[in-house]
Amino acid sequence: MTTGAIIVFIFAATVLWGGAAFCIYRAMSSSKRN
Amino acid sequence: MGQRETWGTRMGFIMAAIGSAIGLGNIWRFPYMAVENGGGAFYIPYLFALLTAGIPIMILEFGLGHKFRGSAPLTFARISRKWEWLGWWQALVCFFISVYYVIIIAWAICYVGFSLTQAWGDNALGFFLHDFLNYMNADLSAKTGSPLEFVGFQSGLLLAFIISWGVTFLALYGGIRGGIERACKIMMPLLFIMTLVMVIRGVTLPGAAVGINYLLEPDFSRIFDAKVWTAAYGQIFFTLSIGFAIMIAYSSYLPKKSDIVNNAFMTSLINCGYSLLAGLATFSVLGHMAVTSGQDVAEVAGSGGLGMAFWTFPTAISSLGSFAPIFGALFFLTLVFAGFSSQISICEAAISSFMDKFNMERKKAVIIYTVVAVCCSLMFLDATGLDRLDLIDYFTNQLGIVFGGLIEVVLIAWFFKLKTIQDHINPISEFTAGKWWVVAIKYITPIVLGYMAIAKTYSTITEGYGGFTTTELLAFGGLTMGVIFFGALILSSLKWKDEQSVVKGVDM
Repeated sequence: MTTGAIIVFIFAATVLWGGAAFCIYRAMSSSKRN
Repeated sequence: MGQRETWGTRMGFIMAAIGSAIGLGNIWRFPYMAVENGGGAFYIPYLFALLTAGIPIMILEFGLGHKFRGSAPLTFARISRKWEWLGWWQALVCFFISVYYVIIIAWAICYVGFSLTQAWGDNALGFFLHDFLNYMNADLSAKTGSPLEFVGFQSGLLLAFIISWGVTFLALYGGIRGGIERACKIMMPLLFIMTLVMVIRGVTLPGAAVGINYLLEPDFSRIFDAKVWTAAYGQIFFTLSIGFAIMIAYSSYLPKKSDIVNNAFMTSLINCGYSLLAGLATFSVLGHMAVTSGQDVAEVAGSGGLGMAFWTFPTAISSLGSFAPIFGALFFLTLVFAGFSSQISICEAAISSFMDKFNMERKKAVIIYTVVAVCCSLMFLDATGLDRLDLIDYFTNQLGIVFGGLIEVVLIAWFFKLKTIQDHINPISEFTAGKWWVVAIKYITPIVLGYMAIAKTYSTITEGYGGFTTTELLAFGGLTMGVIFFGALILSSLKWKDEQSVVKGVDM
């Protein structure tokens, strides 16, 4: 894979899956859990 | 009106919302959209659109459904009786989409079986258009008929058609917890597992890197092209199931003390993350096919949409050797599961509207809806059904949803106090919808959706669509939009079976 493609993949995966993981963590640890 | 059903768990709601958002477009539309609009560079406008339009509208719709505790017509009627028609516009758009969407699921079900033997042989295009649908003649030089004619019922599709409507019916008939939530809790994990298996197998194929480079290699010069930004906003709008009553209906079933903002973030991010995975799974295989056949990826990749799923990808699957039957079955099963979870939500948005308006029991509403929708769906089982599907899809998706979403954000942002929604969602949410959300809803989304609506209407009027004649466009597109428009007006003018329900359950 080219460097450009690797950087794009890491960037997109970090924002999307990293963001989703953070939101899930926030939901799991929330006192407002329902 | 009895007690409103609720989701059993927060995870159940999230699964159902993600299931609604992840549809066939995530698999066959998004990767191609990226490739045509700067490759990896497309992720910049795409993520910007997600944060400035997708997530804000998702928060708005979750907030509306939760605050007003009703389907779209009931929600808008509770805001103002004059706005009820907008809810019916969205619900009727859902009805029309559900009657053709189920046909694509039926095709995918058939192709799960075809994958096991690679029934399409070395001519997947001819197999789909002639052998399977009888849409074109044997040498693919002409269509078998106009969409205005009925030329032959495709009895070979009947079993898959019955399965498609049967599964949809059972999920809806079982109710929110026992049907929709249970179905999504089974289908969504399976969808992700199957997609991950395809990604792992795909990226380990010889030549996979060629396909992934084609998908992700950034062309930053395209960033300054306004068309790329329009495409990004369009993709975000269509991928999240926003603007057509679904998320309002789904969030109306949330218990009173439920998070709104974080749920919207999770649903949107996971949906878009799935698109990234789907792109890797498909373009790694296309890269492999390009390398093994000595062609360029651009030549083998085709142009996305139905063609990608039913002739480009089957051709690529055939290049996988002994793994082809399993990979093919996995690919079409992902289409089936992604399709079902969306189809169920589309139907639920319409059914819940009729349940609320006419104070109907769920089981009765589901039976009536399914009978009417199945009768309408039969027109797509004809050999010329593909054209009818294409026409109704274009008008409902490209015009119906965009106008519904545009009017929704304009009405809510400019004729209703956004602070009322903020005051409702912020105390119960894990994140806060602050000023950024107000700016996005009040300024960014109306401008973008307004531009999309005007541009699409103008191009339809001046250029037509798909080479169809004016009569064909009017017979299907015009008629569909007419039924939606006048149907919404008529339904909103009818009295509520339980007039008190319109003012009940609102804590304004």
